[in-house]
Amino acid sequence: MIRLQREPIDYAALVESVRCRTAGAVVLFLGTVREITGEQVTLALEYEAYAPVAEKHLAQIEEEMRRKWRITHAALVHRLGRLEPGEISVAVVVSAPHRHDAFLAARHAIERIKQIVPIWKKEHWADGSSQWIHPSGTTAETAPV
Amino acid sequence: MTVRVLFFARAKELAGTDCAVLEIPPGARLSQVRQEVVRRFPALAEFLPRCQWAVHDVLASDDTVIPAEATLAVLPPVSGGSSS
Repeated sequence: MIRLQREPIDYAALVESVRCRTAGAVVLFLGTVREITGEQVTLALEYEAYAPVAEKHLAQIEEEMRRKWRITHAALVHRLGRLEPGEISVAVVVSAPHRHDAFLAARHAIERIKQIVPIWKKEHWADGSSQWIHPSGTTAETAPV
Repeated sequence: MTVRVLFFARAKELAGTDCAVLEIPPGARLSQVRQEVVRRFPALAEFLPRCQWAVHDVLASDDTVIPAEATLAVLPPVSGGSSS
């Protein structure tokens, strides 16, 4: 199951959704908004996606997980919109007959989400400035608002 | 023929809009669309080489032939996932 959503992520419900009698392991990864980056303080993060391609690539990642490991169920959920420190931006939940596959598949999913899914975040810093984050290379900063 | 180009994140900020309609010659390739985007939005010139493009929601390359009325998307380097 894959989903983009603006509402808070109910990770307990996601975990329940993948639990079943044939799975002996459930792995949950949550990405959360961190308040401190170096010396900068984050007030909020804003996530934006190009949904048609983002959903396609999330589905591709789920396919990769199923192809490479023996897993039972998987859920990949990413939040969009404005999030405050501590809030959950992304959840990966995997169930599998054995823990080895569940851990590896979950790790693969979060790394691939960060590589290929067109979702972008904008940092809103405590000093009033804001900045879209585009890794590898410089990220141009916008004037304080 | 006309095509629609969608901008996201930093590209949207630099273009000053999230969408533009461009006139391009029939049979044009993606590289020609990119030139037209730079002509219309010079502020994107430096950032655009770091971006991927999608044509009708499929990732495209420079020599992709653009159909009439196509929707294209400029996709900057991604930064989803967690903060780390």
